[in-house]
Amino acid sequence: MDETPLTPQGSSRRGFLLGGATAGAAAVIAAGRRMAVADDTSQEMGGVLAAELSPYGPNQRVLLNEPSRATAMISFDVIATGRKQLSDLFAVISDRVKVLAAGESVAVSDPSRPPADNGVLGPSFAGNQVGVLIGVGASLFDHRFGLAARKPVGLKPMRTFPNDNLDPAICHGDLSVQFTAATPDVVTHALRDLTKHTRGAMQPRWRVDGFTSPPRPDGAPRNLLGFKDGTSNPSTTDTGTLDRLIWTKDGGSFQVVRIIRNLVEFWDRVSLQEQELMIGRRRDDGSPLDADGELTAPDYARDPQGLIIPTDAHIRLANPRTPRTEATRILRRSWNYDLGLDSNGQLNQGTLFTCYQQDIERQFEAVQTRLIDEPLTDYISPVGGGYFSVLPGLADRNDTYAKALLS
Amino acid sequence: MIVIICLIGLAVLAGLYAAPGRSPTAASSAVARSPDPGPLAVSSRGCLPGITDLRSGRSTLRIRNTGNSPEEVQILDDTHTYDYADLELVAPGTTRELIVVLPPGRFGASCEADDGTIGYSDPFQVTGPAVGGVHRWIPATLTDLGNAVTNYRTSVTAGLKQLASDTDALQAATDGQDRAMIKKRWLTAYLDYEQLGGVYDTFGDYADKINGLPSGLPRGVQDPAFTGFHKIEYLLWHNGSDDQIRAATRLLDRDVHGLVKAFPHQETAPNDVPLRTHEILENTMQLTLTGQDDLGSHSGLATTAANIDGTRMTLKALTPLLQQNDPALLASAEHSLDQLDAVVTSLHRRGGYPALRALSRTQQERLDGTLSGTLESLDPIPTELEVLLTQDNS
Repeated sequence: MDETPLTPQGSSRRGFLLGGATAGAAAVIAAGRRMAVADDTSQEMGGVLAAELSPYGPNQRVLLNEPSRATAMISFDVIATGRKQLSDLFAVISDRVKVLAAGESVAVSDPSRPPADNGVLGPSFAGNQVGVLIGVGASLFDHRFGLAARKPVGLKPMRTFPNDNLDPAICHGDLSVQFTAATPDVVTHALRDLTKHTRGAMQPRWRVDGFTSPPRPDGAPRNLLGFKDGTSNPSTTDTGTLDRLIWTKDGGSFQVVRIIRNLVEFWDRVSLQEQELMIGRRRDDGSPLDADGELTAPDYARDPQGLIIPTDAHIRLANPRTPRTEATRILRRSWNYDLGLDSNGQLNQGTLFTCYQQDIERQFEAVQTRLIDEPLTDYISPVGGGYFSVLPGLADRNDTYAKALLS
Repeated sequence: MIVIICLIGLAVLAGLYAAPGRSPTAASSAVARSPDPGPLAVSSRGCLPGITDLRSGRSTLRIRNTGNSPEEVQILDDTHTYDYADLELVAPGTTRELIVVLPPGRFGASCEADDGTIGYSDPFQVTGPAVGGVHRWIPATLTDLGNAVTNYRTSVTAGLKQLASDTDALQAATDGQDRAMIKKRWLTAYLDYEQLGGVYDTFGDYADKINGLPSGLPRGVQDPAFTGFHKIEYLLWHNGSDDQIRAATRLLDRDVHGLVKAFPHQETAPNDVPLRTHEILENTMQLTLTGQDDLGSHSGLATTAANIDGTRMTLKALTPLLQQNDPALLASAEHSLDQLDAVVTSLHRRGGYPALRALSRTQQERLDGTLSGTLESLDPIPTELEVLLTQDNS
């Protein structure tokens, strides 16, 4: 269980993660001076929280990492037919994940064939640079593979919320795969490796790449509205919290993906005061409006009428911090995305939002329901995403993803 | 004789050294930084006590709320007429920075607590050369905004009367089968509504019933909650049946008359008039110029023209206030609307406007770009005129 696979250079995984500076060892994903903040059990790492990238273990712990500098979220539809072909597909996916985790000194290539590796990382690539997260959507459990009886309880297609402007082309999917790494080339290398090996069996449905900014100047990285994003989250180091909020009984979780367009030109025309009242935090340093310091918890009990942090401020609605709403908390992982221009010449950029919870309805949907018609909805527009069931981790080198589902 | 002179000389020299600030080290300490005096305090006990004179140009004041109530701090001229900077919310126990650019003159700060009580600081002097980058305005009061609301609502009432009459005419047309006539009357009534953008929030639930879009509805255009102008538009341009069109129009007519009856009792928030003066055209940019609100009629340019008219309506209600408080802002806003109007008008052809998608790239860029510029000119209006609602008046 406690695998420490050796990298091609021979140093242990631990060495890489703590910044053992060898060429290509860009394993430190959680850059910046972000401390491991939990409102309850805070564990001050005093610096960078090492990223967990191993696919091995009861859970896919990669989802616990702070957002990486680079990511690709890609949804696939399975075009293979029948249970056997689906099994084979998962075997191939599992195999590629293991290879990416281990690294390859020089790819063995048949000279009569195109190269096996795309070469984006050079002639060899180190292991433990990329995180890979695998989820399955409700549509996989339709009539095609006879898996209806195996559908995880609580998995369903993403619903439409009143403020959404969903484009069906960038919603849903049979599988979700997310790659995370410190640099975009590691992400692309992995993404293209997976798609090359799964062509003909699964087809990309939609994809959004994301990025995280360095802390400016400190604390949580900023989103494209200029605000620090991710300050408050449940602890990812306290097993009690993880069992209460994140993991399902089988070691998986549920992933919600939301592609949220930010109307940035409009936002940049709104007064700072209005922006801060809509969010509930100061823009300069991320403090809640009722206190000094980004990490200070807001005290809503002291301000029941919302004279300081309005009752419809985003942070207050999303997490009212009452005993009753404690069980609705979600683990948020957000990146920025940038896709070019809209047809009216406005920038098409926004938030690639993901969150993790053990119960979509109890948690994400409760939060999103509280957020219906919040003032911020004038400036953001959910356009895509989906609900996925995150599979358990790989037990060992012989395990494959979705073995329990397909057995 | 010489001795006396020397003694006088010594006395003079001693006097020099004894003069305040004239110690031998005065020259060097004049350029040394004085220690940080700490933030200025605001509370019910006082408004920025100890505020010192400032140099002209940009100053950063650190202000700490040592009281129990949220406070709004403004830097005013000494007659308390003009506002130079505004820190709208300092929560109790927090410290925030107020950045202000001041010309030479006499000034004072005001501190307004949440219950409406206002305290003033001691006056302070700003010395130094004249500086650029100074912006001052006369802050709006709730009374000012209330007057604007009243004026605007008078225009809206007239607009609603027109809307009701034109919606009745639309309904009458659906008794026949002349689709061209129905479409024409649909457009007339729809554009009436699109001129009333300043009060969409006031209209409450009626806004979605009369002009809602299918996005956000689980079943999209098939959703039973999709009603109103765009539903009828969808039916008219997607081969809806006579019965469907008649039913949808009947429902619209009912909702429009419902709104006309309800409007006198619906409240318009005081900040809505400045806010919507800016944001009507933001909706145009986001929904109309992207085609999101086009359910088949391709009437984006006519809609844009109606939205410009709607913005002029709200701006008209604010004109007396802006004329008095910030005439330069008023002029800039009007000019930018004229520019946008000219671009839209230039695209008009005999018989109507072309579809947005039929515009050339150059025409499209000119339209999108001019609207972008107009929005930049309008956005100071809510920022400058909004009055933060406090406990005593929210």
